[in-house]
Amino acid sequence: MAFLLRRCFTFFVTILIVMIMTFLVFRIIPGDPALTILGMDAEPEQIAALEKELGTDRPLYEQFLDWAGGVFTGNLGESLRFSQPVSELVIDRIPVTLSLAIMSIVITMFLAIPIGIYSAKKQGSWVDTALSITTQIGMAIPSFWLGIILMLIFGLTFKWFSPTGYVPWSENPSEALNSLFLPSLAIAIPQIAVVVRYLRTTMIEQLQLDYVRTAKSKGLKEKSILYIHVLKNALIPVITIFGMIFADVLAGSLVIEQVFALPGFGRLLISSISYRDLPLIQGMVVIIAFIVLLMNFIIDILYRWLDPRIELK
Amino acid sequence: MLNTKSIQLKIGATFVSFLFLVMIISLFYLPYEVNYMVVEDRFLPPSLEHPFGTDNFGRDILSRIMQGSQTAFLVGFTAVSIGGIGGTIIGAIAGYVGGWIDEIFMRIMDAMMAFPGILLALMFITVFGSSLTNTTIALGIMSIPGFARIARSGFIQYKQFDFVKAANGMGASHVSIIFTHILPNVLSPIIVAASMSFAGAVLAEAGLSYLGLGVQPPDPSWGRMLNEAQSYITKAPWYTLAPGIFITITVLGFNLLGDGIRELRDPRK
Amino acid sequence: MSESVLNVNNLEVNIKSSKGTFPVLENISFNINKGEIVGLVGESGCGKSMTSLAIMGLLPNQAKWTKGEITLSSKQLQSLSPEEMRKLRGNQLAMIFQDPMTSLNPVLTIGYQLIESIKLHLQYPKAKAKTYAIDLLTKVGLSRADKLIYQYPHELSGGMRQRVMIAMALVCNPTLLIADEPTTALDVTIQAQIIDLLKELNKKEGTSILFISHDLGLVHDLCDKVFVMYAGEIVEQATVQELFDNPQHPYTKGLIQSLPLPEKKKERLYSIPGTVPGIHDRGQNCRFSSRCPHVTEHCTTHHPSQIQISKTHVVHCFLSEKGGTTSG
Repeated sequence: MAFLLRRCFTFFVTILIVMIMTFLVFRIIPGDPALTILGMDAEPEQIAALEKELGTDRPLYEQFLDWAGGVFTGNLGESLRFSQPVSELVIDRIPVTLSLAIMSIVITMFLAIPIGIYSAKKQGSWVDTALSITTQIGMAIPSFWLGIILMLIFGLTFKWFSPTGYVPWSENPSEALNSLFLPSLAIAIPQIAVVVRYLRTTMIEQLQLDYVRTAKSKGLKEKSILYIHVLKNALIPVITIFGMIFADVLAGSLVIEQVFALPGFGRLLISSISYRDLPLIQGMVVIIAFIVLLMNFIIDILYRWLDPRIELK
Repeated sequence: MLNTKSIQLKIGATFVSFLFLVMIISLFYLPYEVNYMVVEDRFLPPSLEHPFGTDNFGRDILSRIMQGSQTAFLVGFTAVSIGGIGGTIIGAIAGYVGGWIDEIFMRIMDAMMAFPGILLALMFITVFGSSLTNTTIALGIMSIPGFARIARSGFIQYKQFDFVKAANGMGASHVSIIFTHILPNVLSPIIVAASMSFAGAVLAEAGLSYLGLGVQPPDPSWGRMLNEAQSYITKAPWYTLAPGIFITITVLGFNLLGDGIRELRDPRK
Repeated sequence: MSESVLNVNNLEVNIKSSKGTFPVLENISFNINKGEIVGLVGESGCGKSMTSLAIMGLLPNQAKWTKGEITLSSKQLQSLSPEEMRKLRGNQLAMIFQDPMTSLNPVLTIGYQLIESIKLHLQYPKAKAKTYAIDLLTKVGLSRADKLIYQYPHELSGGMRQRVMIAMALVCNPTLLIADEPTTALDVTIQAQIIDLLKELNKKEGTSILFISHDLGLVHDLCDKVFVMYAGEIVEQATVQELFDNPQHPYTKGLIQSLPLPEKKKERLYSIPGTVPGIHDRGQNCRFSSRCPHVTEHCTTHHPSQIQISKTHVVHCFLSEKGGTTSG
């Protein structure tokens, strides 16, 4: 219980710091947000009107409490560009980005875990070396370039997948899957490389431990030793890197949505930057940070729950 | 995977030296002027005259790639310097002083890490506008938490060592202990992190410039070249190759260099 | 004589290192009869564990069995396929290890680790396997076995874990149990309990035990016969009685002398000077010559052959050849 309480406490403190940081970056540093939005040559009346609208004429702490209270109740203010509540705009875009993130993680797990095990099993062989080179390259390739190439090959040349655009799941699930597959793969490939390397290392470490010798002396089959005894030990530390992977996948989708013209979170965020739609950007940034922290929180607890050596209570 | 240690280091060093050489040459010599447009030479495929072909304005892609290496090195080097110095100072203070200062500093670092990938940079660019300088500063700030964590764990480890306690007993100042006694010992993981961060900064700059939020025209950038290449992908598919390959070998080179240095320093792994 | 359970004849194992191939075990021959407890004694690095791994068919990749035969109840182990060898392990041939803290899988329950063995070798259905697992745990002296099967190794003490290891080894009532320093990592009181348990098993089930140890005191308490190993060879073999009454090899004498006995409480504990020569520095001499207090020039150039002291007592030492010179 002590751990849970402490972890909840740090979770909330970190969220608070994230909110303060986001607030300060958007309110203090640029000097006058109204000026920033309207540009240097704005009329004083215009500025005063916008300040009133944004509430920037009030004391800073009041503004923060106002905004923070809004964040917790789901009121993120109104977009300047769309004149629509930020929360509505965000909810519209969530299905695309969330589908992209989930598909990327599913692809990552389905490919990385078997490849990682295989690489560890064949440790030192030429297959292992080839996989090691491939994963190094996989981590170095920019995912948006990978996206462009995948689109060129599978979307435009072979026409197996739709090169751009998005079809909602509610309209046509198979079309939706088709439109999301290439971008998900582009996001997933660098993550696959990370997981393969990590899993391989932990598997090899585990294979040298005493309990493996015990399992062999019991006459267990190679398969049960590898897939039950060793894999269970090796996957527990792998879970910890899934927090980082989730964050990377989310960040990856910000750019990949641009490559494949998917109407998600990222596209809304990037396009809002040139419009200087501060309330919208601020709201989206806080939401993404919140999701990342929440995922890390869940994974921390999951890790402790799965590892019998660590007491959760 | 016998002897991957030396191989990783060698390949990494080779790639980095090659790119450094390209960058140095580009300072003195370029096959064509980077912004020299020849309308009738638009979308020329790779040839002897234009090894990587020409772009939508008829500009030589090779020359722009070479010029782009300057941007990559400038952004990488400056961002790593900002992140490395800032992060090491924060980590050193947090680790050395400990207590509530450590707690506050590390909470702030945790909060910064909650903004995944380029999000922190996007926030910065929204506020200050997109330019080479702002992008570089943003990427530098983005890499602070990574360095801070590494420096902090090193300082926590070393401050308990006898030679540090001895220096303390002999009346050495805290600043002198931090800089002359502990820092040299934690430098090698910081150097490894610097190499990896360089790779990360190049990748992030490419991403931002691809989105049109990083380096602005007319400065050539590999990331922005990919953006242009995508618009003409069916007309000139080769345009996308050179920038992508150069980003990849830069990132790969610095990653391998970092891995190689780490394994050289820590023979156990 | 009673029937032989394990016969090792002229076993030789080579190990490959960056400097070349070197023998780690040479001329290893010994016999274990049904119901016997046999001790294999020596310092660390002398090849005790390598011998046990060779019998188990679990030699590390760099090591290779190059010569000799191992016979387990009339089965020639060198002629078995890896699959046949696997089926033998945990069945007729079982082993327990030095460190019970690391020898069990930390993320699987005691019950799972025991039941998987039962299901594999005996093909029991789940419920029957569970009952049998609880029986086994009770048999090795663990109480509340029905609760224990749901627990993880870290929730148990070292002594309890070693008992679990023994229970796992007993699944198929093995003809031979190899115990590789099973008490080294345990407290003295727990040590005595585990030794008693092994004795009891031997008496009740007639299990033959190969007890590997560096502690002659424990061997004295437990074993019928002893083999003393030094630098990859057996240098002396005898019954426990003979070995302690009339030790022949200077190395054996050194080991006995270094035992902390109550009557020599005030003396400084004896220790044999020097260390076991590494596998790279073993030549055609007596391997103990570098540390032997009675070394002669002959010892440094010739390898001693076997000398029969009695029907059950054999030694490899030039000093015993002349008879009587060894009384010192």
